[in-house]
Amino acid sequence: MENKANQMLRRAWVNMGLPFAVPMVDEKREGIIDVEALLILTILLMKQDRIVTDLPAWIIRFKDLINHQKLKTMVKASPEKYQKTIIENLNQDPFAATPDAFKRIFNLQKVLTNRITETIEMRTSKLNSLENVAQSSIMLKNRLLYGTGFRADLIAITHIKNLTMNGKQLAHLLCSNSSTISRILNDLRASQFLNRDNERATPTNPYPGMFLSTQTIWNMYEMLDAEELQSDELRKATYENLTFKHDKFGKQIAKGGG
Amino acid sequence: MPQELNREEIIENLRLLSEWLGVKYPAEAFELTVVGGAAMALAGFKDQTKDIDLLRPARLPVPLKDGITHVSRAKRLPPEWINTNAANVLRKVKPLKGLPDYFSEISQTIVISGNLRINVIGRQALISLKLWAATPSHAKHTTDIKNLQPARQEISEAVRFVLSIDNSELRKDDLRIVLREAGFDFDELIPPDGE
Repeated sequence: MENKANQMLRRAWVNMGLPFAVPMVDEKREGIIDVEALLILTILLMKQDRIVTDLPAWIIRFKDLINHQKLKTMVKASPEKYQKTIIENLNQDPFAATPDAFKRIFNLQKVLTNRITETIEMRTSKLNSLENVAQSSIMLKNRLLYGTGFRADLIAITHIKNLTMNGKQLAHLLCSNSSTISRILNDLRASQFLNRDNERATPTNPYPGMFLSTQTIWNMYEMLDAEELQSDELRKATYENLTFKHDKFGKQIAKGGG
Repeated sequence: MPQELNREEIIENLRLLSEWLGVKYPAEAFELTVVGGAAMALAGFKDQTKDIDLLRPARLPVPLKDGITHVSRAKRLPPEWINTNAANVLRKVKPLKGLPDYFSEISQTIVISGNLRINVIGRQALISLKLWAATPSHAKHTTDIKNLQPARQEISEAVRFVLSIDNSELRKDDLRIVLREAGFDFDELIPPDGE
């Protein structure tokens, strides 16, 4: 399961500009990728391979497009055992090169060496351009347009066809608090960007849903736990209880697990 | 109607609960004190019961709540197959600190696994609670009391416990009928002057 997930994560990372030789996710066909959810899942499932140097390179290059508050909330909302895994996985030399804002979230203490800097710089040069990444990730494109915050993410997911979610559900999906989302929704309705049902006032080229979202993280924790369970009944009940409405990624993973 | 569980099924369901808790909360251990029908089934005084009533913890912590829900889904059990109804009712009628000392006694401990221990409440508390639950119209508790085969001293203490919660004439009338069924005479156990 973890290998399959890592293969699929690589596809999503191609959208974000990492040079993996796999086809990127077609967001218009497969759904939107949440940047912070992608980061958390990648760190959670990270093995000793190229991602260990590519990910710090990406974090350095795109640091202004990372919603650190969202990332922090996702980590805090994670079960303790997985918080430990995430921090253990980040406790590798290349992550010493990441910006302080990122390191503070995970309390990373590693010391940066010249060798690490050289390696990361080399990997940074392989990343795709910001212009290209903006075309393959609607969420990053919107952050370039509206700033790195929940407003940009909310506008991104209003591209989803038949979204029909209230403020509380949207806040949960974006790992934000309800008052922030409610305030942004009010602004977007006042400007007639959204109608009273929180739908786009003017027709847009819709996206089918979320390929990878906060829900993907929660589902992945459940599926990883299920792998540890000896009882078939407990495992089956876990899979039956998963919700894939905003998680096409998890749905594909679960096909082989339940 | 909820399915009845025998001793082996109770243990098996608790084993599943401990497995789930072990995966979800690997650093935590849990201890449950069981009363009522489940305590009787675990102690061998009864064949089956429909749920597991807890005295402690009086309020279920989140890990236990979630685990109970998960096992109920997996085994198609009622959502409250483990519940704190007995603890809740006792808390309302009598604060736990006010319970007799013998409510802290344990008749046996069943170690389900490293992270889950089940304490079966002591015999006197079991008899007292059964007598409290028993009314002439709710005969299953009377049957349970008979199965416990209480000694005169034990049933006297149980009567004192019930009357410490409710000493109304209505309750005394109920006790007279229930005790007669169980082979005791209320007025002989508790003389009219309350001595």
